[in-house]
Amino acid sequence: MVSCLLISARMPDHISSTIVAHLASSTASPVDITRVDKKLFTQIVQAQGSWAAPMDEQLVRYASQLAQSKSKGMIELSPPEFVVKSELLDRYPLLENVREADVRARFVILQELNRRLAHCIEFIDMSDGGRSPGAASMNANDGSELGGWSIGSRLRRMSHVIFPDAKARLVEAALDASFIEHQHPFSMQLDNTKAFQM
Amino acid sequence: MVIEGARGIVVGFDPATKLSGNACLRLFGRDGEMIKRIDARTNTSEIGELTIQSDRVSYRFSASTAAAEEERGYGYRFVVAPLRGMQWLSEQGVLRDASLEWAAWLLRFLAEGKGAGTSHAVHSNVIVGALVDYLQTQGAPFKENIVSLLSQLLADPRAFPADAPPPFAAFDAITAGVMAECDKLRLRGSLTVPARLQSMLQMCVLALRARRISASKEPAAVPFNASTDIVQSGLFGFGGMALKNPVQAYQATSASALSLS
Repeated sequence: MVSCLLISARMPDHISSTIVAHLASSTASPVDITRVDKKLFTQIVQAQGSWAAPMDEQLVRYASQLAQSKSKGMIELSPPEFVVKSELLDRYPLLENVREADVRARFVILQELNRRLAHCIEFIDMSDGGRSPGAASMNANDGSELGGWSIGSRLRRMSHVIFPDAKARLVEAALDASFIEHQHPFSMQLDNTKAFQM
Repeated sequence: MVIEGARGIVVGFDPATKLSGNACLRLFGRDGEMIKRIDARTNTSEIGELTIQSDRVSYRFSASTAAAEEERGYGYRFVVAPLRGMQWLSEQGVLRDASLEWAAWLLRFLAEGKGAGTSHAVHSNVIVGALVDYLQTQGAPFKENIVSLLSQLLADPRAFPADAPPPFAAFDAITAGVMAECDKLRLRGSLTVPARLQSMLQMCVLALRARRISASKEPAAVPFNASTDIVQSGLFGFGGMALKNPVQAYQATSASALSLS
């Protein structure tokens, strides 16, 4: 899924089917691929080909604002709750000329990625060990736009679409681990929201 | 005992080693952790050689006088030698020894050299098989390098010849062990996963993905191109837009069984 998002490729069809089912508010699981709306499926696959990283950045910022206004996490937003408010679009110019249905579909795709990631993020080595700058310089068309072979390396290239919710468990565990019961001569305040914006 | 500069030490036991009574010989590694305990019940002929990933090893022998007088065993004898063939520590070593570290670097360099046409030479089932055998060798050092190298090779499964895929079955036992460890951590609710387990898990996931791709002959992902990947469907195109490649049902394989419960 990450590799497909990185190069705007068609995602595996069973994942696209899940996205169609989410958009249609279907609760059936697993999704029956033979019964998904083919027209919607085609539209979603087609729309992904024209998405670029800067659009995703603006989409995630917009979704973050929307989720805060609803006091929800970004992963918890349901497709009907994700509405594109025209008065807010001035701040997100790259989304202005995109159909609302396509913006919503892209958001549901990113939600699916984050939902899966949140489930197993602690098991992924996020270091950049898989980067291979030597290979990239040998041949620019060898897939190096994927950013190295390791899972962590590719996810780092997708950091702009990783929701705070997906890494919340890790951050909270780190904060808990740093808690010391005894009094200290100084105090420190950590702001999760600001930290995620860094 | 210290062997300066050695990445590993081999402790070779005399097969005749035999302790009796309550006599006990313990070997300790660099940080004082016990590596081996040998007593009257230990069958030393089965120990053979121990490989220790450290440049030092210490030992402690204990026995009560009364027990030693009652029944005398052969005692113990072992020889300590630096592990050879792992890395070069000096220029003379280049002429004398092999170097696993150098070999791993070279394989990685060749694997990355897609533009130079060297990648296919390294994506060989023989090389993968040898590396997996090495991983399964107890006490062998540098395993983290080998795991990383295997992961890199498996990340590009299409580079292997279609008629000679990697020996995927060799990963089954490793995957089962890694998943058992992951499940244990998950049951404990631990969010601190050792880096070595993370890299082992990555290798297993890449092996499963490579197996799926190899079995299904799945083509490499390419950017979606609306002008070529979308066609008009129905008579004279009145059926609307449709995908050129039809929707594929998900083929569940053993890869799909990999999940953290």
